[in-house]
Amino acid sequence: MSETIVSMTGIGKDFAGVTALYDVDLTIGAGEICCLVGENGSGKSTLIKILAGVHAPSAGEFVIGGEKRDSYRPVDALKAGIQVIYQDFSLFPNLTVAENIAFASQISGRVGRFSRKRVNEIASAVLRRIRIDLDLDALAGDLPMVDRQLVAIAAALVTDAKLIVMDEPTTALSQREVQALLEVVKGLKAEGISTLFVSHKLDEVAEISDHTVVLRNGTKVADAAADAFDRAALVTAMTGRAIEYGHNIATPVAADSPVLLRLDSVSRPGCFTDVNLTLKAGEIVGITGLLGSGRDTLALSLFGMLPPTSGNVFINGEPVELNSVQDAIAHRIGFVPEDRLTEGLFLDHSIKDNIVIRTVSDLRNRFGLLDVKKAAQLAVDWVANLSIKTPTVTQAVSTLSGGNQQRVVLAKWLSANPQILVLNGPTVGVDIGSKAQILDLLRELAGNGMGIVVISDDIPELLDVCHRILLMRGGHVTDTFARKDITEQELNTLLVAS
Amino acid sequence: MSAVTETAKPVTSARRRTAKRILRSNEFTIAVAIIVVSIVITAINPAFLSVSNIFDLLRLLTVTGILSLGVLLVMISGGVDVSFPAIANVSSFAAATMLLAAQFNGSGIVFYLIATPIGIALGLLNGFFVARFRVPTLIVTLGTSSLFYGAALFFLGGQSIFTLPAGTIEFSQASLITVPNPSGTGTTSLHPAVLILAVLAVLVWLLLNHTTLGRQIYALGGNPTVAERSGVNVHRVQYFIYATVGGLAAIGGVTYATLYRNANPVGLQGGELAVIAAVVLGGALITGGRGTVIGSLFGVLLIGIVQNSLVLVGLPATWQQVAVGIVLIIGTGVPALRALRQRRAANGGS
Repeated sequence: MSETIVSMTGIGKDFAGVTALYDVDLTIGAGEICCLVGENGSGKSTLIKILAGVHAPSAGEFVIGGEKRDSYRPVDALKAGIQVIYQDFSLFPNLTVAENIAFASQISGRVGRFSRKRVNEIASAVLRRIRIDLDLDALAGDLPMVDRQLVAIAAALVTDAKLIVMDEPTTALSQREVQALLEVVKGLKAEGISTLFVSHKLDEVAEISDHTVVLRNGTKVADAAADAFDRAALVTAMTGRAIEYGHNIATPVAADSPVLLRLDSVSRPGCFTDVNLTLKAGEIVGITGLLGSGRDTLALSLFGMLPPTSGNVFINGEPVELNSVQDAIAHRIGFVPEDRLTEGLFLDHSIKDNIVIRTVSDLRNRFGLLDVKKAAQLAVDWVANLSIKTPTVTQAVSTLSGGNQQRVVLAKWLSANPQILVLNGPTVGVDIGSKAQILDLLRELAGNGMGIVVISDDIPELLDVCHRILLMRGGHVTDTFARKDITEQELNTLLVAS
Repeated sequence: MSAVTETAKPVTSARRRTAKRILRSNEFTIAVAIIVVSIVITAINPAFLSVSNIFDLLRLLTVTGILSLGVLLVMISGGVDVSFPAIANVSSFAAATMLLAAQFNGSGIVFYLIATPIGIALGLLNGFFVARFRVPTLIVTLGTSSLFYGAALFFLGGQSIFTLPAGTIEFSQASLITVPNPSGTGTTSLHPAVLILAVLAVLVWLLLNHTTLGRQIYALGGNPTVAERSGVNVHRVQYFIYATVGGLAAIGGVTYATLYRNANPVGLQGGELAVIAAVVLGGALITGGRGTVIGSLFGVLLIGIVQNSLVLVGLPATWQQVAVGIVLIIGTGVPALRALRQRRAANGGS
């Protein structure tokens, strides 16, 4: 690499006596694509925040743009051309694409006349530069996730970014969208702009990254060219233990296992068409497809939120109607939504309240009031059961890591003892260690006779845990595979081809 | 998303997108509603479309229109202000008290010139609490509203002032155009105060759409955290908004006092919800980030028509509130339902 954009040496950071980072070195050259991986709590976020000037390091030195920095604030980071795209993309949903892109230079940076024409010119020039076509006048809030990401990247480029830091950029994207994003990043590289990817989805990023830095418990445990790692080595580096992939297939379903759920050519216009599905007790069925393929709406309809308009639903052989969430709950269906932050949890409320909310009416004492002791005990039991890492059950859920939050959502449903559990993206935003544990839990639940439907575009995860996998495209189930008949490669190809 | 394959997209598709956006906009829906309601009322009683009735309606809606512009600004920024009627009353009443004490008898403009800075000062007080202490805007303005009314009664007394300056009286009787009544007796005139509303509306529209400050107000309502992170001086914007609302309220208050030839400390009290409702009906989001001048004015107009035309169609005036309630529920329910459908379609469509 010709020029060094960032060089950090011996960076350490303490928060009130807790070491978040210890002696971390990081060097990023111009036009380099660096991948920063690590589990939740490994120090990734702290490192980015130091890079962005939000946190001052407690030890170490860093040289940015050839200059040694002693005081380094967010505005210095921006001046040095370091742009951080946070997971929320920092967009204004009510402003247009063009306004979002040109915000810093044309709206917040100036006082006076606002020229929409000028804003559109700036935005379209940047979009042309990264070879992306977006409707400039569309509102950012109306865009799909991938386009919001692209708007955020374009906005960073307007400010002459030299290094773009993307925090978990692929979390909300489908496989094909990730490919589109990677193309853009490659284009930036050709222009000499560096990218720091922060991720825990490894495979998709590995193919374009120049070097990979692995953090674990606040220290750097590996730093090497990306092709020096295979997946297993990377996972071992991140977790400090070997987690096997592709071998943990669930126990086979007994041949005489009863059918819990049967969908008989159910349709809902605009969502899905003629879907047939059987789910036996003890079985885990995966549903995959691109965004908009109908996989998400099918998941919602299984939970009564988008009732099918035609076709029949049978539970335990009986025809039933799933017209509301109440119906679904009455049939003992549990649902772990795609976005746990907005749909699955009361973030500011305690772990206890979140766990007991589903069963709160069963926790009444003889006066009809909530039996506080029983509720607390239930929460404590589930926290222990699912090994949720927290000092107390009264802590707000928002203080937990992604993996632990997801376990709280699971605890909420499992405490109601469902016979069918539908999970949409069960491990999105969850680190590898927790992910393996959540998948283990699903296998165990299935082993005990629960029927489980997993909707995901994380192919390795589906292959890891499902007995059967359904592929959806344009609202139809186009293929069904038994786990043993399909490889990751084949499934990926099919998914992207659709 | 797709990669650019050709350098230029056909212009027609951009035009079609724009046309679609207009058709789907709240302003368009409410304009249609105004037209439909007008047709229905005219069919029952053709007097509705008479020039004199329209002049009357405009006169009645001028003050609400002025006040709605302030409400709009606050709402776009993500706040709710319920103190504007208090500011309108108190600033105009204080100004009238001063003019009376000074035995002033000159131009009606002086009334405006004295009241407006008072309104701005009261608005700045709101801005101070909102910006410095980050108290929710509704709570701040509930508090200051009570404070302003109370202070006015204590310091200025509660006596209505009918002795307004000669210039103000003259302005209250001014007319842009005078037409004979359809009944043949008397005349109806278009009051020039409607021009004040028109000028203010254009100014606020310019502010919102053609200044960086205006876009910052939208940004603040869309995502306050990001606005701050992106370098918007949030405090300054908030001070500006609340000061402007105070100024607009004062202008509204003076106009009210002028039109009714009576300055009193409580005349507009209780009117805040109707104005807020009109602005919401016009497409502004109570959660901030969205709203337009034209939408708000349409909202004021639609509510005004429904409120003031029941008598024309032969319904007892006691039904006014019910009718306004129905308009509000339908007017805000339909767009909400449409948004929900769109969201669902976006979930399911490819």
